[in-house]
Amino acid sequence: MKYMTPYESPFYFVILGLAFIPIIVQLIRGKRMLWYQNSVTVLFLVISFGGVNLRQGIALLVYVFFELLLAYSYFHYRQKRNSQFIFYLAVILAIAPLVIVKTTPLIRHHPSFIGFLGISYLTFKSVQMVMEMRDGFVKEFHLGRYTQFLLFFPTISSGPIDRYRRFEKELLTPPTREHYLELLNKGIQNIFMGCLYKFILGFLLGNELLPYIKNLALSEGGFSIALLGYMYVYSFYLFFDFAGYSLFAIGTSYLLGYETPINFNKPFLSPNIKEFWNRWHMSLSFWFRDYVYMRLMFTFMKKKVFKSKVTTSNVGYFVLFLLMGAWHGLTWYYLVYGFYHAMMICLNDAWLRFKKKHKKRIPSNRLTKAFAIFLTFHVVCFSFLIFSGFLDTLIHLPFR
Amino acid sequence: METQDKVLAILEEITGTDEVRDNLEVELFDEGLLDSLGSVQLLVELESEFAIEVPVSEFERSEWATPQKIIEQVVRLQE
Amino acid sequence: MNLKKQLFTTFGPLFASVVIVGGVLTLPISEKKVSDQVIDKASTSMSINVIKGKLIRNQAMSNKSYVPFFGSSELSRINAFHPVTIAQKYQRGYQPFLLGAPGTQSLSHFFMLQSMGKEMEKRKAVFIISPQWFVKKGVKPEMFSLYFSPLQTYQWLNGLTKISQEDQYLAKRLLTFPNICADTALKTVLIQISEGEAITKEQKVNWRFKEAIYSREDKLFAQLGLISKNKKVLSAMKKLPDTYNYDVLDKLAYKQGKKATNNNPFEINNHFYKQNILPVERHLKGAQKEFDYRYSPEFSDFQLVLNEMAKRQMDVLFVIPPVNEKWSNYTGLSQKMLAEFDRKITYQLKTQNFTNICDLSQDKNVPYFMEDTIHLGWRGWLAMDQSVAPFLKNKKAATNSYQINSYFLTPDWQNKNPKEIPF
Repeated sequence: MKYMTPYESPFYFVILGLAFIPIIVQLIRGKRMLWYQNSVTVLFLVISFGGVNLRQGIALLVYVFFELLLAYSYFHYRQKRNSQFIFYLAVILAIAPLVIVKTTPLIRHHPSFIGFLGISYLTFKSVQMVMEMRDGFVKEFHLGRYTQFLLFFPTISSGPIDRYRRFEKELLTPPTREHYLELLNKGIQNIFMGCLYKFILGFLLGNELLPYIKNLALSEGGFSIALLGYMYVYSFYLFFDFAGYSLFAIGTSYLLGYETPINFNKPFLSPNIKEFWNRWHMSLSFWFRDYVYMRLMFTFMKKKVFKSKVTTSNVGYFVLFLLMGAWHGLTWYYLVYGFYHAMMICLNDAWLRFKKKHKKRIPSNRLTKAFAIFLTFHVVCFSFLIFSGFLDTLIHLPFR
Repeated sequence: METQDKVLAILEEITGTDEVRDNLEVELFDEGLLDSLGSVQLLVELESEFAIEVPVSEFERSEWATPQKIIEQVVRLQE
Repeated sequence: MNLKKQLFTTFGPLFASVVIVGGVLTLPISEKKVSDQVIDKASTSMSINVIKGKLIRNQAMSNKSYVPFFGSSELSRINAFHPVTIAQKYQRGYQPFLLGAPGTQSLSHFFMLQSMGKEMEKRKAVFIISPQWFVKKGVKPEMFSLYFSPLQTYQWLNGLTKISQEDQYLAKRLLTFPNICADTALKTVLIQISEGEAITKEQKVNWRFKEAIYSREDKLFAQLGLISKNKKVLSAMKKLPDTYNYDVLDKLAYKQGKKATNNNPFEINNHFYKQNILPVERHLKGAQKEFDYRYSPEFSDFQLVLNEMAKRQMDVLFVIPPVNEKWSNYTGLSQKMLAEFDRKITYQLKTQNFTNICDLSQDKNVPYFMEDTIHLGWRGWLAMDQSVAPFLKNKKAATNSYQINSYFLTPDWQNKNPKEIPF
C-alpha cells in the first residue's frame, strides 16, 4: 500500500484515474453508483489517513463521529425548540475541536493529538450545518448524506468549502448526460491546469526561486531589495500552489459529477481589495461573508447597536478578518494580516463612498483602472509578506 | 402594486439611486449598487416593513439579483 | 467553443507541463566541469545552491587548496580581518570555502559533509560553533526547511547499508520537522529507519530515481545567481599593510573597529545598530535574561557532524566565539550560562579527542572583538587567525584517534546540567 496525502504526487492521479473508470461510465449513462463511490471514498481515505498517518485517521473518525452526534442532537432539539443559548452552545461545540488543535501548540509546544489534515475545513462544514438548522432550512436530517458531505474526499484536506444544500441536491440528482460530458471535459482540463500550476510553476517557484531569494534576504537583513523580491515570489508561489491544489479538488469533483465551487478567479487582476476577496480563496471568504459578516450585520442592524451604517460595517469587517487571521493560526503575523486587511477594506469602502459622491470629478479611464490593479496587487502582496511569517524570522534572527 | 412601491422605495434608499425604478432588471450586485452590507440592510428593512422573516441563510445572491427578483421573493414570502 | 479550442484548453496545460518537465529531464547539460571562476565565485557566495546542492561544492573540494569553513551568519561579515581577506592578502596558500549561511545549523552541516563523502577524506576544515544554535528546541523548523536539501537526504538514504544508532537518531530527529512529515513517502521510510529496519532494494530504486532528478536539477540551476563577496574582499584588502605583523594589525583592527562603531554605546557596527537595534532597543533591555543554551537537541545534531568528521578522519579546528559583553549586559543574557555552555561543548569535543579548539569565549569584553552582538569582528577575526594560520600551515591532516561516544546522541546528554559534568 502506498500512502499519500491528497494530490501529493502525480501517482495519486494514476490511482484516481483507475478507480474512477466505473463511476465515469455510469455517469455517462446518467446514473450515480453511490455504493461504489462510497467504496472509492473509503479507499482514498485509507490512502491519505492510513499507514504512517493512522493517528490522524483515528482523529478524523472520532471527529466525524462527534460532529455527526452534535448535528443529530441539535436537529432534534431544533424541531421542538429554538433557544438562542442552545444555538450558541452548538456552534461553540462544533468549533471546539479546532480551537483545541489551534491552541495546544501554544501551551504544550506539540501538535495536538486530536488534529488531522483538513480539520479546519471540516469545521467550516459542521458550523454551516448548525447555522442552517437554526434557520430552519434543513427540513430532514439525513445522517448518511451528511456523512458523505463531510467526508467528500476530493475536498477533504483544503477545500474548496462546499454548501450542504447544494451538495445534497447533486447527490440526489445525477447530472444529465450532456451536462456530465461537459463536466468531464472541464474536470480533466482543471486537473491538467492544476498540474501546471502546482507541480511545475509552484514547484519551481517554491523549490528554486523562493529559497534562493529568502537566503539573500536573510543575508542582507532588515528591509532590502531582496525582501521586496521575496514578497513577489512568495505571492506568486502562494497563488500557484493553492490555486493548483484547488483546481485538482474541483477537477476531481467534476469527474464525480459534483460542481464544487471555484476558489480563484484571477485575483491579482482585482481593481480593489473588496473585489480581491471575491476572487481569492473565494469559498473561504464567501463562507465568512455569509456565516459571520452578514449574520453579524443583521444582528447589529436589527438591534441598532451602532448609529451609523459605516461604523456597523467597519466593525463587521474587523470581526471577520481578525477571525479569519486567527483561523490561519494564533501567531502575531496571522492576526496582523487579518487586521491589515480589515483596515484596507474599510479604507476601500471609504474611497468608494467618496467616489460615489464626487462621481463627476474623478476621472475613470484605462489608465486609472490599470493603476487600481497595480495598487491593489501591491497592497495584497504586502499582506502576503506579513502572512508568510518571514518578517518574524527576520526580526528574530540577529538577536538569537 | 403596493408591495412593489414599498420595495422600490427601500431599494432606492439603500442604493442611493433611482436607477432601480427605471430598470427593474438591473443587476444590483454586478453594477455595484448592492453589496453584503446593503443586502443585510435590505433584509432588515423588508422584515420590519412586511413583517416577514428572511433568515440570512435564505439569501442566495442569484435569487435576489434584480429589483424584479426581489419583489418576487417578497411576494412569495408574504404568502 | 469550437472543438479545436476546447481541445487546446484541455490539453494545452498538460502539453506545457510535459514540455517543461521533459526539458528539465532531458535537456542536454554539458558534462563539462564547473569552471574555476564559478567555483571561486561560489566560495564566498554562501549561496543556497552551494549549500543544498552537490555539484559545485564537491568539485571545489576536489581542489586541495580550498579549505571548508563551516559556520553561519558570521561568515558573511566580510572585513579586512575576515579569514578570506587575510588568506588572500598574505597568500596563505589556502582559500577558505565558506559553507553556511544565516540560519544554518549542525543538521545542514552534517548533510553537506556526508554529501561530500570521499572528498572530505583526511581533509582539514575550520568549524565555527554558534552558542545561539543551542536553544531549547534546536534549529527552528522554518530555518531547517529553508536549508533542507532533498538531494543530500536521498544521497544519505541511498548510502545506507546497515542502520546504525546514528542513522536512527537522525531519522527520528528529521521526523520532528513539519516539512519532512508533509512528504508521506519520506515520512514512511524515516519511520522505518528510526525503528532500525533497513531499506529494501525495491525501495532504493525509488529513492535512486528521486536522487537522479534532484541531481539533474542541481546541474541545471547550481550555477545560476551566485553572488560572490569578492568585491568586498578586494576593497577590504586595500586597508591591510603588506606585511603581516600581529601587533600592527591588532592596532589597525582597533582603529577600524572604533571608527565603525561610534554611533552607539555597545561597540556594535553602526549600520547594524541603526537597522536592527535602534528601532527596538527599548524592548531588548533585559529581554534575554531567560535565554539558555545549555539544554538542546542541537548537542546531538552537532554530534552527527563529529561522527561524520571522525568517519572521514578529518582534522578540524573548532572555533567558539563569545557574545559581546556590553550588549549582553544590556539584554541580560547570562555570561555565566554561556560559560556553562562552553564547558559542556568543550567536554563533548575533548572527550572524543577533538582537541583543536580555538575558544574565544573569554574575550567577551575585548574592545572591537565583535562586529556586533554575536558575530566576530575586527579583532575577533584576527584573534581567530592566530589559531587558523598555524593550523593550516601544513595542509596534511594530522592523524587523530577519535573516540566516538554514542552517549552524545541521547536526550540524557542533551539535558545534562553542565555543573554535573566531571571535568
